[in-house]
Amino acid sequence: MSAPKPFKIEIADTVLDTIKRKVAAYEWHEMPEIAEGGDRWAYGADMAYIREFCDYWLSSYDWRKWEALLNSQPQFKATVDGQEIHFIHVKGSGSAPEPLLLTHGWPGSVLEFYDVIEPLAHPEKFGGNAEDGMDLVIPSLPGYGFSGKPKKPIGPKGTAALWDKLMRDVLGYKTYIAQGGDWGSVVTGYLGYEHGMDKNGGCKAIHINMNGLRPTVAPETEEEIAWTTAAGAALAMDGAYLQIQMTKPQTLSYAMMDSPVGAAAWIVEKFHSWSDRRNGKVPGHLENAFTKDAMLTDIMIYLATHTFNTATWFYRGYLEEGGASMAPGTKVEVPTGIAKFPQEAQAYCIGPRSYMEKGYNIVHWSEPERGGHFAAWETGKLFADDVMDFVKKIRADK
Amino acid sequence: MTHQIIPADPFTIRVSDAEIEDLKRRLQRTRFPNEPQGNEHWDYGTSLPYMERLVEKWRDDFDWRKAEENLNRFPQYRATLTDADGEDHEIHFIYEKGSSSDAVPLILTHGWPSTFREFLDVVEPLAHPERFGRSGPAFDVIVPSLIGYGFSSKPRIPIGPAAIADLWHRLMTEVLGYDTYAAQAGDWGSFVTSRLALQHAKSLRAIHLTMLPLRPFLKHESQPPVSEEESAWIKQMNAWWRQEEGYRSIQSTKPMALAFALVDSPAGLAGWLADKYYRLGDTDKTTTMDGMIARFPFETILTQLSIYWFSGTINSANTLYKAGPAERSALLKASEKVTVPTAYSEYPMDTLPITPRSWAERGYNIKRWRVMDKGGHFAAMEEPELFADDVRDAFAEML
Repeated sequence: MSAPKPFKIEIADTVLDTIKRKVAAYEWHEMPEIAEGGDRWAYGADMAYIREFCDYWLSSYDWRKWEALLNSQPQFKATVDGQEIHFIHVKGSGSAPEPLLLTHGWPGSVLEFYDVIEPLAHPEKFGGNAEDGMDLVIPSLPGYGFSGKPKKPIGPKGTAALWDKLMRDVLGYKTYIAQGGDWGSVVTGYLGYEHGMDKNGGCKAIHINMNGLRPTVAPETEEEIAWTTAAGAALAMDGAYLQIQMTKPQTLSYAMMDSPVGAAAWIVEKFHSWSDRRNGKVPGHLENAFTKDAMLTDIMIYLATHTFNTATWFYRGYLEEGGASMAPGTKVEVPTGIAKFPQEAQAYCIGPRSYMEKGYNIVHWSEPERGGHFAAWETGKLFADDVMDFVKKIRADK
Repeated sequence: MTHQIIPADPFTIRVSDAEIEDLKRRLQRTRFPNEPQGNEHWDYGTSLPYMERLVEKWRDDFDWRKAEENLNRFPQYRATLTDADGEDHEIHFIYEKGSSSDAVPLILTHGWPSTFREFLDVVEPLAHPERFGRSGPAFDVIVPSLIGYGFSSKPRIPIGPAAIADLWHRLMTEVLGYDTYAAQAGDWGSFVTSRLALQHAKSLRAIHLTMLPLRPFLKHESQPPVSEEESAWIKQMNAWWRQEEGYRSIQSTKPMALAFALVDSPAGLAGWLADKYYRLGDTDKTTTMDGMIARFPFETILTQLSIYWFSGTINSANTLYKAGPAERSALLKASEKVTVPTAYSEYPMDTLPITPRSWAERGYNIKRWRVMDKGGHFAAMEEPELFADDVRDAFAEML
């Protein structure tokens, strides 16, 4: 355990130059022919889009501008159980701000939460009440971005144990609320399941926007069975990245660590598969969900820190921990808020409420009108409002 | 004999100096990943120390010109066949005529992540057994590159093994002028060859396989119930696949999520493919790399990798995994069966149990059954002498 040290992101010019040189040297190739009007992403990433994306990367994208934005929030590093953890720590406006721990997933980063920092920490700037402002802790997962690289894979269960120590032992919070999507939802689920106040941990409530840690119960109702079947089919089409990252991350990594365009395509394909792209100038276009700048900044965090490999280890860590299922007959007892965003990828989405009740003590259930897998990043204020509503409920029930 | 109606042009592999230099430059600036503790036996995937050594060899020692000369030592051709949709496919193949006038035409088909190089060391023993002190039949040896692989063309729209089988039949009959022929294969090649035997049974004299890709239609009344032995085997296979199927999952669903990196990074290509050689070859897996190097000398594996790299075919090769299932040609229809006499030789591979013969007989007319005691998934390359003798003996028995 170590006291937090202030941290600023400063990527060396040589690192940026090497990435740019490789992107510039990329030799474009063929892809299977797609009929007029057909799905250009049917085989994975659309080459025409990746090419346009890389042209923008070289001609218009400015990492330094985004690095400054990332550095505009106070960041720290602390070592917990030998694992170096990078985190953003923002003090809220309230006189007794509620500590809120926000956890990202793959292929995301702390960037996902930047647009919700102000609304959650300083609601008075958005027409809310300063007293509702929260203290925010936003860590990078082990092996991700600016956190240290573990010597061997660590998964969500192990990470939850680190997070509880980070919040209580390093930052001195007695209790806290946790929120997460993607891997963040699994880590958050474990915080509620294993580090809840009922288990002598510090986690007093959780809010999740993905079905991560799952109860060990078979689907019962027609609705539950239909959801499980659809999720299985979606996973067969979309789950290959998970399969390879969970079993043989090293086999994939030689290519992804050496080719910035390759890593970008691998990640952009997921942005495309999992986001809410419905509404915009061109319905279905990826940039209805994210700007190129936002996607590039997230990708650059993986590239500049050379963490593509160790980030995929998280999947293997999950496998080594035995997956993420609750023991039969048990559930998360701390109060739970669940936000079911409409375009959350089918395979990972929140199940019917009747099913989720079997695993969680649900006190808040919302179905926002838009947003996908990267809810905080995609919807900003909409996400922040839902989390704020949940936190207010928890505080009122005290 | 039918008349030759489609010409084949002589072909020689010649990679430009600029491409060789470009490859070395890319290898020079490889950015390697780190490796988790505990990867001595490749449990997390391709070994870092092995990869560092492989990339160094590829960059500093490997002589492509020498490898190229070796690949060019048998006559090669390219023939263009137009399919039913009007697409032209250029098929690259080795064509070595056998020593005797009644030599049996034999088409040998490779799989993934291999190339026609897999059969290079068995061409001569099969075409000219007398040069090796063997007395069995001589073969006219035909070794094509799969569509989308090596020096064959890349399809505009991916095609699967049933479609490739039709092209192979036309290659053998319309280009080379044979009425009947024999076929041998493993991996994807065994899929193409099985389809060839189903779709062109009258022209196939016999086939020899080292993998059995067609699945029986178990629900049909002609199928006996699954035996205890079969059920145990299926269970073990499924468990093995759960650990190994990552590459297949991504290639069969989103090959274009992977392709951008593999065509950009020769080290990445090597990392992706080397894992399969280690796992599927008859490698000594108690060592990190000595067993791998002993089984697949650098020159051999680097020739394979270089063919993928220089031909730029890794994406079109991987996409066969998407085209194959899309064709729905693996599951035999009710009562459908390969009637062509079939020899099966199983080479030991990883920890996989031996296929029950009863399972094979559900889908194939098995005439000869061998369990080999050495050599893995790339048998023709790993144990060329053993492989050539076995293939020769098998056809001598069946023809």
